[in-house]
Amino acid sequence: MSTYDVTVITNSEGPNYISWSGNGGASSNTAYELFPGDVVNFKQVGVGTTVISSFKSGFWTNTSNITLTTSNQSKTVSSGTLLDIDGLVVSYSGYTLTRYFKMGGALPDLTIDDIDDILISNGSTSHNVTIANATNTTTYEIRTGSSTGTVVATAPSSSPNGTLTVNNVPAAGNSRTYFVTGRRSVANGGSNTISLITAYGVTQESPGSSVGDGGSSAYGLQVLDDAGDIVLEVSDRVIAFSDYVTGTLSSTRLSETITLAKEGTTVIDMAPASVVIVNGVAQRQHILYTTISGTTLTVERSSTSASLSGTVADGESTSYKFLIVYDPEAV
Amino acid sequence: MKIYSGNGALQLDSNDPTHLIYQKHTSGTSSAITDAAAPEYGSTAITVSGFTLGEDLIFIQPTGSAVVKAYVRPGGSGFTIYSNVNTSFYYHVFKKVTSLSDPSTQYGLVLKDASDNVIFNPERIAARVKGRITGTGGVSLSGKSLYALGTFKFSAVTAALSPRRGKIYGWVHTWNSARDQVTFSSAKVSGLGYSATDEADMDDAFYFDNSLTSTLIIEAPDPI
Repeated sequence: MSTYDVTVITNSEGPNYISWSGNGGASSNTAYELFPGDVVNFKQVGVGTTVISSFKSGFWTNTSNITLTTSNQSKTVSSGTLLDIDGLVVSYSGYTLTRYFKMGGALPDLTIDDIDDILISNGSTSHNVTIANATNTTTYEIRTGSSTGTVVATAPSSSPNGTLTVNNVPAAGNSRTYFVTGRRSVANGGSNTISLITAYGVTQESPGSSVGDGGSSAYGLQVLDDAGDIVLEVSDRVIAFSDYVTGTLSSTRLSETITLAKEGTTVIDMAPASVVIVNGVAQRQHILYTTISGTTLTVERSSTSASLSGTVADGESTSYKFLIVYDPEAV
Repeated sequence: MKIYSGNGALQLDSNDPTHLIYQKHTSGTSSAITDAAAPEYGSTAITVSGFTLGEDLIFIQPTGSAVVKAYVRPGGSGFTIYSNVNTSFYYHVFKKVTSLSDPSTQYGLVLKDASDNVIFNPERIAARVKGRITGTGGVSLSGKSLYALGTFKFSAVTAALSPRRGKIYGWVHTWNSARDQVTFSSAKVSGLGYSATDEADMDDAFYFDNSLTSTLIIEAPDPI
């Protein structure tokens, strides 16, 4: 059982003569769900005599009107009919406002085990999740976009526990968030309202590449040291120094292109980001990535700010230190 | 003099004084990690005498036979190894050949450039590359002792609705039990992602980049 607070704000000057602060739907379609035993407190802020009426019989334990004051006056939800809707009417100085409530049913079981983030190989067209500790009175669904988004997979209603295949994946090199929701149908005593249980991310790997060793041949140089260990042999490619670059991406720069002293193939970050999340915000402005082609090194970051929306902090500068080496391939 | 590998990759070039190969500076065995507890990685720090940040290359291999994931963060006087398994690691540190002391041997192949700088030292193993991996991939060479480059980059920070937590991901190497196979991939390195209060709260906590990072795999003996 829950307690909700509603404040009705009245104003002698329009256009908002009456405002409703708190739970309650603006239409019957968006009626806020209450359950037997829930308590709703009503009070007023503002001027004038204000009355709430239309407390429906069977929905509330007491159906008398309330003349609002600055102190809470409560109503308790009765054990009424599932999905019954009541529209409460607020009246003030000839103006009215209606807010809707719906009688909820039994709750879905939202206590399934956590679902970890998933990394899928390049080219995958589906991913699997495990639903565990579920109850068959609840319908478990996987959605994209949001907790009310498109359903892309539904666990079997008779036996929801087990592996669920989701035929939906992000594009290669990208990730997507999937929302796991539960709802209890009217047939199972619920109100069919969607509840968010958890969310997990799926990342599809980018196509990688690899270069092998120095090949084989009957000719070439093999050098052993005095311990008999191979110092160099014909099948080796050998790492050579390319460059060491340091610098700073200014607070407004997302990327920088650097010309190296020599051709490079592999970049090693000598000062990778160490703190990647602060107060719930990913420190994406300090996570750098690079691309290299010949003597051209590009240093990039996904954002100049910790926040994608730019509301947490303005752009921040970040410094970098990269060692670049070269491992020659066959010509 | 130019020396090439079996398939024509340039190894040594006495005519190019800027072709500075990497050869071994030092090697050893780390202390065992003792604080790895899934999903958190444990760590062990190694101080290297004469370490030069911005020049030296670090290569590691786990001891024992457990399947191990690990990555390395360099520091000013050495490096720190992070792993999901409580184990010790073999390591080799390589420098540019011109940063090493000249060979003391009076025989064998010593290669010098036109300025009399040693550009191949027969007393110190070279960084003998057996594969370069960009993005996800692996190197498998039966019977070889494979070491992986000390490198690291975060790949994702995720959020989950409270009371659950998101995770933190990075690029790591994974060795098989025989140490003759190393794979490179993004993997969970911490369970300390964000615990969000609502869906909107999740967005700012989520980071993902689809860039690819590279690593090098070499063959090397166990440290003496």
